[in-house]
Amino acid sequence: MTNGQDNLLPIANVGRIMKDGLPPQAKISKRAKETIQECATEFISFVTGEASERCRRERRKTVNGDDVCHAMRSLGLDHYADAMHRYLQRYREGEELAASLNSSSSAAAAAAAAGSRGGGAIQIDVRAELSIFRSGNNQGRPNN
Amino acid sequence: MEQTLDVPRSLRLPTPKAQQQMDEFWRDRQKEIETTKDFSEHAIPMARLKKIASSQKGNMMMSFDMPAFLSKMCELFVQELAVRAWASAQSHNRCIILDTDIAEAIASTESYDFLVDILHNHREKHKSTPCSTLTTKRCRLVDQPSTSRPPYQHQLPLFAPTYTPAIPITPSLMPPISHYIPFQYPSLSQEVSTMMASAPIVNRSMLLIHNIARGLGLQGNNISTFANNNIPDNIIGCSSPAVLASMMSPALLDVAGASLNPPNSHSICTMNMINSSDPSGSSIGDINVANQASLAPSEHFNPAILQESSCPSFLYNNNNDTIVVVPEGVDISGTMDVAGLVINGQEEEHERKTNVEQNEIYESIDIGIINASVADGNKCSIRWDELGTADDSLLDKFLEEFQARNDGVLHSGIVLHEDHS
Repeated sequence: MTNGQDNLLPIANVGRIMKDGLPPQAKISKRAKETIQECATEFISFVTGEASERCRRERRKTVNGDDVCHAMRSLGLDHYADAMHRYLQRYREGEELAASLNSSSSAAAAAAAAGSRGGGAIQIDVRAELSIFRSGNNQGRPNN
Repeated sequence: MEQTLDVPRSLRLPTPKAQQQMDEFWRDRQKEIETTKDFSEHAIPMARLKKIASSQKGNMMMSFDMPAFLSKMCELFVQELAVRAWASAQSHNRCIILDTDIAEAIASTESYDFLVDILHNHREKHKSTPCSTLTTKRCRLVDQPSTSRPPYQHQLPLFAPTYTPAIPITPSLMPPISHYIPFQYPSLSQEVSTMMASAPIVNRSMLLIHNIARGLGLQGNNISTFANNNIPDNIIGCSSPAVLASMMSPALLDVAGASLNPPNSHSICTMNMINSSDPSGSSIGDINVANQASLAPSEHFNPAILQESSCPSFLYNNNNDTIVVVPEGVDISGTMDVAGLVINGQEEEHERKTNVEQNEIYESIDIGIINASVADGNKCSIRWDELGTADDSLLDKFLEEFQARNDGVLHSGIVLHEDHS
């Protein structure tokens, strides 16, 4: 469970996100912001916990977006699952587009791009990407 | 491929309008996701998201797309909850969202049941501040009883006055010495009523009455009978300054003898204050009270006094010569015929309002009493000598005050202070 402010989402960011989703005349009390701050933190912990539990049952070591989508659907958060599933597709499309652009350049540029994207060794990053792609395909089949 | 949205749970939603708002919300979010160009812009810092998510996933690793994914997910959650809370605030005709609106939004959504515990803990945390305030108040209430002391039970000294009156007094005007003491206070108060305030403090006066009752033992009935028979004598006696001077001598002795502690001396002052507003009626009333007190068991005196000092109701004497209990909160300070009451917290404030002349006179008496108390040791003879000295000194100054009244209050006050400085 979360303890103290260090384990909570920044309240300034939470307040800004709330205002972006509300009409201009809406005002938000401080305690309302604090309440949503705690709820959002619990929301992420709760969903992430469900997703990691599913990975543990399937003997996998890495939690990805598909696991979280599946967890949200099992928790009754269907709107979130649908929206985030589409977000994940768009995100991966962007990443693939960037990768294809970089692949046409020199090997050094490709290595630099891979390093900045993954933050780790080239081999590990490539393998992780391939495994994600395969798991994505596997997830896509039942949905179709 | 787009998936069909699930059928909304209309049973738990408050109004169809809210359902339309949520449908519109999710359609707008879908459009926003379709039109997103830059995926590197995040509403929540990555490090914080990783820290929160890591606390739940144990030893699992996160893929590279998880921080951005969680950031977007959190953004959707916060905005959806804000929209629901805004609908709740509007249903109450408010433009500001309160935490109760958040709670109402969460309660109306089944998929948010896991947040109910969070709300409960959140409220408990915010209720801790009022609890500490209540604790402070309770501490103050506990301190009040300990400040009230049991009455000082000192035997009243009964010895003849040492001052010779200027005008001889016939024996018929002088009651027996054993029944003489209670009548000094109304007589004294009549003469000096112009110097006293009209708002005495009853609690301390009751303390004095109880002291007198104990000192006189079983003579309560005699006091009552004697009072009824000799009221005209008091009236005749008060008209003569010389008689008043001789009658005041035992009063001053009572002051010195009954009050070796400053608090008791205050009760004597307030005793006179009561009689000043209605001397004749108050006299009978006071004696009745003393009579009742003397009949009560001695073990019950202390609890009664403690209750008086801290009870929510107040005691005062009215023109009917009866003691009436007034509930707390009733404002009787404006009543002309009623002796006003001052609770413990307001005693000092009340005493400040008394006139300068009165303060100077009784300040002198207090100084004399304190000097006697300081000089008092284990030897009784020293105590009696000191009491006698204080008595003579105060009596002389008091008579001088009466004779030189026309000279002015300030001059007399200066003289009194010079003698005690």
